[in-house]
Amino acid sequence: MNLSRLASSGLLVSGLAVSGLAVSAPASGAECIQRYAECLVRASDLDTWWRRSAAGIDCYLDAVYCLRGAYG
Amino acid sequence: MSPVPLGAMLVLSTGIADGPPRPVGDFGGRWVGGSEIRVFDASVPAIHRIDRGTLGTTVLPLTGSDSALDPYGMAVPGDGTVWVLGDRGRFVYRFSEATGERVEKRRLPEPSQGVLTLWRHAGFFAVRLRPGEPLLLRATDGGLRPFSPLLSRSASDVTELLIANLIRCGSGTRRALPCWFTAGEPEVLLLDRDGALRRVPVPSFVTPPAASRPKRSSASEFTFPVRDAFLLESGALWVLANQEGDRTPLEEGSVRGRHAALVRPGRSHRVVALPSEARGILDATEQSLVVLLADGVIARLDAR
Repeated sequence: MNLSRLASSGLLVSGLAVSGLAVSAPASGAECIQRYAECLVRASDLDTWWRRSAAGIDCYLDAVYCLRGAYG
Repeated sequence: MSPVPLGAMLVLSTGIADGPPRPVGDFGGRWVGGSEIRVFDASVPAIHRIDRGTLGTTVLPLTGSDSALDPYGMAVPGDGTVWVLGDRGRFVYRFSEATGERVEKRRLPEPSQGVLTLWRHAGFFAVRLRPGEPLLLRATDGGLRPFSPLLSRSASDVTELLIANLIRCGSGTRRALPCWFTAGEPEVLLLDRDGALRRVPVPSFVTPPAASRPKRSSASEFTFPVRDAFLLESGALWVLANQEGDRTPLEEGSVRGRHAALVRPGRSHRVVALPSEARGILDATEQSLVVLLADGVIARLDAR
């Protein structure tokens, strides 16, 4: 099965992700949204649109992970 | 509806693994079929294979993954493999049901927040940044195709959009699968094999926050009524409560997962109080429940 042949251009998730922006899930979910906001601020400081976009997606996916754990 | 206390009705319990009970933070979903319950533990990673009769457990380690696996559910579509997500939903891994060895790893065309069994297919809940886009995709004919008219919901900002579109599914039958938005109304969406949806209102243990209580975060604008659902072949539906009271699961002092309700077409609901917080319903009949408690213990409860 070739899942990649339907790759969407709607979401930008590339190898340009900046690993330093990764947010680990807290033991308690209380910090999920705060960390998401801080992650976005750091992403916005990156120098190119591509790097900001990739880092922003990383922030979003980390926040999904954190919130799923907190609410589920 | 007056809850039936179950504290004295716990008839059998066992640790989730071969050792002592472990925290359930990495409970990654379950699958039920034949005589077996399978629970995915993303932290090991492993599949706990539980006999439905005795609750005896063996552990099948999943080997060969080169990134962290996500506790985003599991799919067992009948192709001899178990599908789970990895690296925050960017990849799907397939592991042999027989050996636990990695069979395949693929980058998904778009990140996912969940993977589930859609009968003979694997399904994916996409992560959405915009409203009005298909949420549920099905792996078929070599790619992912939208399945069902379920669309991402709108919200006032990106954080609320993220919360409003968290979605999960429970255990289904040959005909339907119960799904629900984590944040939202107390209702379950029954998804049939053609993708059609039917809304089923379910009991809620949420109470509105006092007007005098300060808003803690944008998340406190939401309520989180459903934690799990288990549909029986009879059409009856067990629903495990999530938020109980006025505090959301993110807030200090929150109470969650302490009641289960049996919703039956044309009949009154039956509500049972659980002996402690539960994470999920692993198996059920109209008379009993097998639940995963928050302390990692699996318990069979008499729910008559």
